Amino acid sequence: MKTKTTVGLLTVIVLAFAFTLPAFAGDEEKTSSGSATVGNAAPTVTNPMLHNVAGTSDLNNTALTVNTEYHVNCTITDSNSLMDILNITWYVFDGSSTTYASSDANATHYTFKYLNSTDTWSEVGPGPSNAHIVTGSCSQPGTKTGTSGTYHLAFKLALTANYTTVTTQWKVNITVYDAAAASGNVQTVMFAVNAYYLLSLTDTTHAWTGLAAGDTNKTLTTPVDGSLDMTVTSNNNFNLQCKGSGDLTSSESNTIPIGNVLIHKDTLASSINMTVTYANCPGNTGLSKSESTATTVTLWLSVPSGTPSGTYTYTLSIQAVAS
Amino acid sequence: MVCLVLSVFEFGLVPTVKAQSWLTGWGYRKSHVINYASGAGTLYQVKITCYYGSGTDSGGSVYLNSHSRTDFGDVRFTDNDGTTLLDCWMENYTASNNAVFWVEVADDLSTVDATIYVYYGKSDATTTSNGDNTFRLFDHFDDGSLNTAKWDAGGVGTIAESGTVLTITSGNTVNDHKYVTSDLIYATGVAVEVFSKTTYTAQGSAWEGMAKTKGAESNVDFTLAFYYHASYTPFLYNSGNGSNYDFFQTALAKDTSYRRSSCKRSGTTDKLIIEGAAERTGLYPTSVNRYVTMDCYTLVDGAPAQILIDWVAVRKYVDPEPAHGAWGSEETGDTAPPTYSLPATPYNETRAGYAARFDCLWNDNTNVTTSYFCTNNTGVWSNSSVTMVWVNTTAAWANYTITLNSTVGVVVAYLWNCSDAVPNWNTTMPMQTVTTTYYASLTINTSSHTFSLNPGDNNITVTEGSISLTITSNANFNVQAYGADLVSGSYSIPVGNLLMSQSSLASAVNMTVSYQNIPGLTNQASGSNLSKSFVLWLSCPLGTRALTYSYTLHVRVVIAS
Repeated sequence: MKTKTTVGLLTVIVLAFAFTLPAFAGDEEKTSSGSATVGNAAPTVTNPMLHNVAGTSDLNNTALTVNTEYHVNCTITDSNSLMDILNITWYVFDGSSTTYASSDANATHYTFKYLNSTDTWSEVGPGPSNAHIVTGSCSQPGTKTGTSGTYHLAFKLALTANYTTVTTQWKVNITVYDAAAASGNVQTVMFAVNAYYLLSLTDTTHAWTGLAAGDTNKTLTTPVDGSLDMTVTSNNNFNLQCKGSGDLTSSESNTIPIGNVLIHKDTLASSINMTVTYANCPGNTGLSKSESTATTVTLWLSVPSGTPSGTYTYTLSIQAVAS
Repeated sequence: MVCLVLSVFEFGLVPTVKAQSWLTGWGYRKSHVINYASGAGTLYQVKITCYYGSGTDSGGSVYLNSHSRTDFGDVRFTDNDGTTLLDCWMENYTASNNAVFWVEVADDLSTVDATIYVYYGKSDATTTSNGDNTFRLFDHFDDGSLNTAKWDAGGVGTIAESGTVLTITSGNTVNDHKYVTSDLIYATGVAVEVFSKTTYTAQGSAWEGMAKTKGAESNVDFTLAFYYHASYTPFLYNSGNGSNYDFFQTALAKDTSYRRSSCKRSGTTDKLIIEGAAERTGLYPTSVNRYVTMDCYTLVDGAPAQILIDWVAVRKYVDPEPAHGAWGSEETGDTAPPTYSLPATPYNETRAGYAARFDCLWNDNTNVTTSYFCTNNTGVWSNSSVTMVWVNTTAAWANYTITLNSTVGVVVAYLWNCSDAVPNWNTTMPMQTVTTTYYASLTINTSSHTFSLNPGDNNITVTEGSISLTITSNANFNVQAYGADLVSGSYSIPVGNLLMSQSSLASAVNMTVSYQNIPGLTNQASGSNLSKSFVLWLSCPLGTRALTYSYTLHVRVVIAS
């Protein structure tokens, strides 16, 4: 029989099993690179309007006058913002003979351009040197962060811009391009062009000297070549017409009838008697429009017998009219 | 009564050689001289009584100065080299008082004194008491049945071995004789040591000692130190030489208490002694070989005899026996416990639910043997024996890996204990703590994502459909994200135009430049390699340039609050 005695070492430790605030040291962070590709929206042109310089009247489908400032306004819209605009081109052209893509010419075609990157306006043609654009009157939106804005073109037609009474003959095409070469355009502004004639008389005086009563069909002694020289600028074919102010009259009130003055471009045989009303000057009818058409008017005078001596005067008037 | 000592702790590491001539791991020792005795020879068993407390050593008594275990389980005896263990058997002990040992001295005690050492002072040691190794014959009768390799049983009656007791009972009929006799017969020069008692003092007869033959019944054939008879009041001695016998009534009255008896035969001298009575030299000794015997005999029908034997030991015996000589003074071994140093990073992990290895470097003047890692990681304190990684003979890393408490923010306490081979324990380490931390790993499988849209488009879904994530988190978590304006050169799309949600546009929130929860991805259950996703929508304001805009999406995982 045995007795068991157990002797052991017992270590009793009482400690708190405590909690503290969670530690976040183990947080894990990663990244993903993201990108968004925003597509290009083509710009649009809307609300084109043709105004006078005051911007107070709608001149669409009316007649414009050459060498007069007009405005074409339009609204440009681009969902990618106006900053996305590359340029805007205004084509002003005579639709009867050209398209917007035709070459520039004073008579038929004008190209104006706005460049967004520099905010500059310019005349592409016909020129020269922005002759037909009024850059100081052109304008664009002050800020381009928006998606639409109004652009103003100020232009003048050349003196020789084709005359027409058809109010839809001249057209304005506005084409806008964005940075992605997408474009939009409108061509709804149309107008006519008033006729324009400018006659410049080189010989402003003329005279017959050394006449005697009974002389017939005497040519002018001044100018010595016997003809009055002149040039005509016009945007329309024209006739030259002449008239006299009345009978040639002396200081003693003696007269030589106005009908004694014959008129023709240069040929006596085809001449006609001058009257006190405008009549076509033979040989100067159906002249073509041009920047400068040079022509002459020749006068012949017959002095009736018995005409007292003296100096007789009158006024000759010349005009260009549509032929 | 024999006391076996058990220990709570079983330390598995065997110390290596600490120092020459010293039994490694033991803290104290005393030398003791066993005087020679003619004829004692080698392997002579001597009795030594160890006292727990302090006193003057003398004879077979030695005082251990309270340095031993109270159960004396750490008492060892060695040869004079200080390290060779001697077989011993602890006959009995009283905790914190004394223990009686039988020590088998290896040296030849016939002509030369022998020196042995008694070691003590090793708190984790348990007894190595072994009667079989110590004696020529030993039986504690604790194996459930009579060991027939040691004993023969005969006669009429019963024997039973139970617990640690052999019970022999003679038959109910007069002259029934039941006996158990050793297989071997022993020449003179042995002593039979017995611890036994009887059940009935007033019936039958029973005896233990040595017999000329197995089953002998005549007094002339016995040498007995434990002997009772119904007709006699005291315990008896018997000394017979085959022709005559000395039948002697001791001064000890019969009782039913366990009695310690010794039957010693040397040459032609018998010496008999039972605990409580004087030793007597038998009058009729003999040099004839004899068996060890334990007998019961029925003298009256229905009144059998019975004895109970706790243990029997046969030891060497010469007369006079080797005497106890001088005791040396107490020598001190290693008493210094190991010291520790915690590394700069005493653990390699703080994430809740993850395996964390804790390290501690222990140093000792001799060697480190055992370390315990103590922690309340599970909410309950527990000690765990750890593996030592040796740096050299006096330093070792203690490593122990635990799976940290799975709750984030728990302050887990721990500490280390360590001992050397003595063992000298160091339990002074203050409580250490580690706070479990949150951990998450995130992989954005959609490493890049795109949108394709036009100005004015609203809520366009990310081209990839969603942002795919793989998440590992040791706690419930939220997924958060932030972004920045989508930029292309000097142009940008506001970050607020991005919407995010797990799946529903209706519940989506505008992205900002600081982290915010993604709707639908909050308080997500913890786990490993979880697949999650969320959707992004982008609106493109009118006026946005036709460009490719880029930004960086930041995603993180945070513990759910």
